[in-house]
Amino acid sequence: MTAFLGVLLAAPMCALAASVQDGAAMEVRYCGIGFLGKDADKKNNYRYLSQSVIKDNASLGKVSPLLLSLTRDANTHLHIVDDSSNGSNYSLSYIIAGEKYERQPFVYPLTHQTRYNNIFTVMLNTVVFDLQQGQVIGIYPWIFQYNEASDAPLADGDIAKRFGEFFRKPEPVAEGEEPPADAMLTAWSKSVGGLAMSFKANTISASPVQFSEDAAKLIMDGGSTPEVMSRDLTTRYEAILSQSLRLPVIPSGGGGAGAGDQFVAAIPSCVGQGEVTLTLPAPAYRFAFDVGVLKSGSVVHSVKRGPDGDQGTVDQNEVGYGARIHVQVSQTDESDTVNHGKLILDNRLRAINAKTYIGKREFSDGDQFGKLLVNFMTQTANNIVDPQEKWFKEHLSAEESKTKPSAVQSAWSKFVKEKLHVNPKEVAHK
Amino acid sequence: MNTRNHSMPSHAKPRWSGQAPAVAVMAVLCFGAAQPARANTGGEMAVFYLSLKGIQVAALSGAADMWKALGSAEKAQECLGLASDLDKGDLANEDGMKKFKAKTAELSQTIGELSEAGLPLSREQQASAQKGALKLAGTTVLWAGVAISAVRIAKDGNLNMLEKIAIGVIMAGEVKSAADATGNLLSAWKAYRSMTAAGALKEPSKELAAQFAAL
Repeated sequence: MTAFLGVLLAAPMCALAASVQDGAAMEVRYCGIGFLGKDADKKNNYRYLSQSVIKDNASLGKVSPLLLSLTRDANTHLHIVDDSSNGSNYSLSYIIAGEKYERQPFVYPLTHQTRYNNIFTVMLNTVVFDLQQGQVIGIYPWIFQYNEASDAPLADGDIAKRFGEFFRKPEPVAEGEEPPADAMLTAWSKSVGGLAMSFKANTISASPVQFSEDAAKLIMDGGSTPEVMSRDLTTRYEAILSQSLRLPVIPSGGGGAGAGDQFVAAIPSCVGQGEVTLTLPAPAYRFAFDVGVLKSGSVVHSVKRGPDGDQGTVDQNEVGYGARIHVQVSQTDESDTVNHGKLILDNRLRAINAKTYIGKREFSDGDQFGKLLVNFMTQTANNIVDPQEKWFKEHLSAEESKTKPSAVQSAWSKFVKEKLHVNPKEVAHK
Repeated sequence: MNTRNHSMPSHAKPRWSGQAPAVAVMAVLCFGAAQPARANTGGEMAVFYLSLKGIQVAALSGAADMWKALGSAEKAQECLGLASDLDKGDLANEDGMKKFKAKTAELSQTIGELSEAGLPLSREQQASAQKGALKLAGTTVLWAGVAISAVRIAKDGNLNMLEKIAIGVIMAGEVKSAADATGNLLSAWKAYRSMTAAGALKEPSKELAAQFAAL
């Protein structure tokens, strides 16, 4: 995601757990919707949304009550008051933190015509902050991605219109039916429905994703840029971890930000014109997801066609993409200038995904590696929440052939229960 | 299936090579004597086969929408043609169920491949696919009809155990085939949904996984 603007300052702040009282559920004052970055940079940072949802105060004012109402419907446990005279120290805002549009041409196999894959990405974060102290308490990132094909390249106006439509009020869906795939706020409501803001919550952070030299070269050969991919993946990992663990994130945005960095956002309904500058606290735990090896491979199978295999055999191609990932979790200690904290989990894992097809297909290796890594981030986060021995058996790297999967499962389990204080069952029920 | 056969019409000329299960069931029912009490069983059989036929026709119509969504008018027409034949009852002796399964399997296979490749659909295509899925959802009532009639036949005191077993075996085969075909369409619909995300990902085969053993 391109829009996270971390302006570096050096002023280490206390973690949430230390700065507030323990135990009680957090009451917050609703402070409206805004966007990350400065108002003056709006058109550069949000080429499309600046034409609709964040065009002006009136546009923001239309979406703001809708988001609040959806949150209240989805989550009755949150204490959000909509009264500016309320004395709560803490405020909550929904911050649009990024938009991204990509267009990828592809040959549609059934008609052999060139079509376009339009990839829309929106990042909508829930941010809790202390306005008086000028400090971020926690950020709950959420990312929406939607793919849609078109026969011709979409015009700028059409792209902007689509981005605007993502913020529409969700259509009612009859029982047994599914909402349209582009119903962004329906999906967002589900995510907000699981939020639990507590003074006891640990804050977490994703370290910028790093690639080994060989992996970086493969990414470049595949048509992508390691720096851009690192930024995207780091933002994804933050969102995935936050969603899985139900914990607030201190974003690094791929830029290596840390404690004391500034969080700059425009929230007109909360602070009027201009921006609010808040300080990011240090996270309690950092999660690293570094890519050591990337590899692709293929094999051809002779397969029978038809439900009873009575339509002859054809050659079926199977292509695979794999990676060796170095997953680490450390407890942050800003005073430790050498190691920056204590390493708690340290494992090398392997990820492999495959796809099969008949005939000819074109794949962008860069995209496929990206999909593989995002998919594996989700699996990793799920196993941080609820470690499964079977998963470690399948995914421990060949470099850890002497490590017992049960031992890794036990260590991860201990971490989530004793350090993060996350109960897998509670998280699953939220 | 040809539900007209529930009372063994005089013009029916069973072509056994075509595996017409409805005719076979009627043969079981009519074997022995023409007992008035069996009219109830015949009625339940009619509900059973009418429901199954309804499922086939609705699902094929849904499959046609999904093919249309993929951009293949030809395949969509094939499904509609088959649905029309089934509706007329012409296929009871021509292995309609097998054709039904084949059509849905082909659709599921094609969409699965597209989904794995991560190729998305346009809004119009999605709307057409959604239309197909709704038709599939509409078969729920018909499945209830199948289940209720099957239970009633199983409890029918006018049938002896051997008759029940014979009918049960035939009906179970029919239900399995229809369920497989419906399952194909459900799986196709799931694949459609994943097209709007990042594309489906799956585990590699053993041969391919061997290439990644050193990771």
